[in-house]
Amino acid sequence: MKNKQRPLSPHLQIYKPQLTSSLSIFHRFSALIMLGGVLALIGFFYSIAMKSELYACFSSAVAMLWGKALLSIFILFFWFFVGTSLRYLVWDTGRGFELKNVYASGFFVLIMSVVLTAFSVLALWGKLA
Amino acid sequence: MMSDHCKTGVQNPGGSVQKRGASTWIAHRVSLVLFLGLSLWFLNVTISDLTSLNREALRVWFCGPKNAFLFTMLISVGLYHFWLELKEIVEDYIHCQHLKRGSLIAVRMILCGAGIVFIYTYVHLFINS
Repeated sequence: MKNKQRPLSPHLQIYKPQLTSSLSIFHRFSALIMLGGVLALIGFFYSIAMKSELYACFSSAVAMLWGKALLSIFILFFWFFVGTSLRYLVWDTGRGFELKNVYASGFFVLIMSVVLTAFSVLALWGKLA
Repeated sequence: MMSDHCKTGVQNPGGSVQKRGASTWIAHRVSLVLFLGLSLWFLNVTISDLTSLNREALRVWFCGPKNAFLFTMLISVGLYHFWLELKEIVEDYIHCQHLKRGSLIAVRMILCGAGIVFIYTYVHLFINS
């Protein structure tokens, strides 16, 4: 077969970047980050129950700036994941597919995830300080 | 003869997608809705309670029946949901059949391992508290 090197779907390498495709890609990326979060949460829980040295690592990490920054980025991805997931659940009902609405909901998800991240991070930093 | 590189999940009669498509779709949505609710609960208690607790108080908190139930649900639903998400990503982007099967087995083993660590930790925590 001659054409065996043709690109296979989902054609990321020939796709022009736009809001719709970027949100789709970042939704999948955020799902991977969420999986990392679940695994980290298991690690944190393990450190509470079993390993005091590991717990000391976790608690000194969130006391430092890079730990707080990492946590804030995670929270941003969390709110983004919540937003895009709700958007997909609405789409599952067959609504919101007009191009205008797809862009509107996309921008809404982006803005809401930044706003909710700001609120959560401020609340969290206030407690951690 | 078609090389392995050209085969996609659709052409693969042993692939899971077309065999259990509808039930996977429903399981994905149900676990997503559960995960969103449980993770919002956990973010809320993290900001309001958990940040002010030390390790001993955290151990007591995780042993509370309501907290133990919801946290166990969060971790199990999370592992299950992101297993489905990751499976979808692997099935979409890894085109070599051997690598695809290998990755799916590896991912499943890692997630099962994380689940076992989680159960072991909770049993240990309950026995020693």
